[in-house]
Amino acid sequence: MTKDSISPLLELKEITKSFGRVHSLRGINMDVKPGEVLGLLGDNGAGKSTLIKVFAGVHQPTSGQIIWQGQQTSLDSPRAAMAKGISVVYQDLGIIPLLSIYRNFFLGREEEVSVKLPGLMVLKKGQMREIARKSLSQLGIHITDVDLTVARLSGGERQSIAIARAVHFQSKLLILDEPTAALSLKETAKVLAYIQEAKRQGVSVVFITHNISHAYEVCDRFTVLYHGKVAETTSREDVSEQELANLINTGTRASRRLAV
Amino acid sequence: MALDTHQTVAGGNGEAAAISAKRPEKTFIDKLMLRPESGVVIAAVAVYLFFSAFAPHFFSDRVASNLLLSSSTLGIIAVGVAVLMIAGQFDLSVGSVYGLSAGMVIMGVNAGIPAVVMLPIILVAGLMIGAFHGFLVTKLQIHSLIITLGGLMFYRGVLLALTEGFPIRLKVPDPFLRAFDFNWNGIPGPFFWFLILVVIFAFVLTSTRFGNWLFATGGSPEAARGMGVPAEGVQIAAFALNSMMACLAGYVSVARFSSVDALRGQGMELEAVLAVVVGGASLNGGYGSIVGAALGVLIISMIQQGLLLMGISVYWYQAGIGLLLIVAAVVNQRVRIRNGV
Repeated sequence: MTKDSISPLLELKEITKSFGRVHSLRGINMDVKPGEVLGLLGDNGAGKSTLIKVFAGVHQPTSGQIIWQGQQTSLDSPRAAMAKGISVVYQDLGIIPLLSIYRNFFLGREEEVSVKLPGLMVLKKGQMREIARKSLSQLGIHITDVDLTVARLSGGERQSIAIARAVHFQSKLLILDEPTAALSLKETAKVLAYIQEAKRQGVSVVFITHNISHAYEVCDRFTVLYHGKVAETTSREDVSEQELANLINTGTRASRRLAV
Repeated sequence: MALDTHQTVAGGNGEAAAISAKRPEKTFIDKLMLRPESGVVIAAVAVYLFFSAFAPHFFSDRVASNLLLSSSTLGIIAVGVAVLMIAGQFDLSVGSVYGLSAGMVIMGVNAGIPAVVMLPIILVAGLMIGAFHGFLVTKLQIHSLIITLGGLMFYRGVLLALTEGFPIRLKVPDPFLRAFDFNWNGIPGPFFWFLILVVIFAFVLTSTRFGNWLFATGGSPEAARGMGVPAEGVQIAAFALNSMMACLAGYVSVARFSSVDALRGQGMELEAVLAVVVGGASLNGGYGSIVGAALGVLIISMIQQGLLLMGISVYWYQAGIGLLLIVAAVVNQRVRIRNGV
């Protein structure tokens, strides 16, 4: 229980989000601690996607507070969230397929590898390739040809680039939206390994999935969403995979036969 | 491509390290073929060799000079169209904007505004026209085809109304305009502007942050936005540059011909799209090249001049260009599939 004494990196208090009469989030309370992998679970329609967009600065909550490193804050835009150190890797949208690996790696963050001329930023392409190659290999991914377009990579490789990118840019919080969906078993294992490597390098990870066994493998804690609310937040030691499944399906740990 | 990765991993220890380590090395030919302009380079050489063999006088200075001249205006427009197409949009109004810009320059100079002053005026006007198109397309979410089709009609209509359908010409020759239209060793002045713009934009697209953002926005606007790229702003800028280039082409053409008729530039929007697509760009955005577009323009001009020299009726020109587009589109698609794009 020592973990509870560490002050959280990000805290959400009574977050609600409504779209007209649709109440997607109905008072979310949750936190992410530094250096942990938090599994965010929930069935389709539980509010996961809306919640991610709140993290990412895409949606503004209707009410409630966001507390980042002890300070109340607001995430007005994706750029604002990024500037704070929050990186979101969306399921399909984390990466531009037609761009090469190294260009994807620095997309939106070209400042540090550019020569600034008035009105123009000239990219130092050699340095970009070098850094991209190095950060990928630090995560255990050895791609020598970073000029490949991402379209030629497998799903797991794409995820790995997005994760390496977040680690390199010293994101404090990495949010992964279904990173293992549509991956083969081998590739899933690799992506889970990257998640643990990112954690080892000090990044907090929120791992969104509805695959319980993937989550169970890497997560320290779980927050389960049910109908726009948090059903329960629990650490891995205190919950079984079956209980997590029940939480996702019914909102309680007790197994209840669904009337289908 | 994904398959071989799985297979190589199967034998190993399943560590993350195995990813893509066994990807086959690219040969030099592979690397060449990876470039979007690879198809058009081959096509340009083929067309050139064909006319060298079959069109009399194709090698003469006059023909070469004509060829370069006739490609300049279309080329300047095509550079802008390529930028916009890579950003994922396109513009049917460039031919009309080009004609109107030439008309405005002539009327402005005839009204006593020096041509030196007219240049920045017409370029800023172009930027504003394009930015307005871009604003309507990105912020109001109206398809660029509709907005710029309206533009095609509107700007042409304005030019027709202002000139009442008659050609207009410069009353007094302007020294600045004349200096604009030099000829250096048979290479016409307008071709230099075309060349300079190709170099500048090829550099901007491949080696600057804005270029990176253009490709990213055209490739997937949502993903680009998620990664912090201001996708709407990038597209508006692309529209603005595109219209500015059309206006610049208008200015250069006035320097050359000192006159404009109300139908100047009609159909040019499609010729420019054709050149850019022949040059390897994808209509879906996110893929293409300025150098490819420039070569596409040269191919069009070579076919035009070559058929003329062979004594084939001009009417066949259009048929030939149409065929070229279809063949080029098929070839380029094969190249893209081969590259997994």
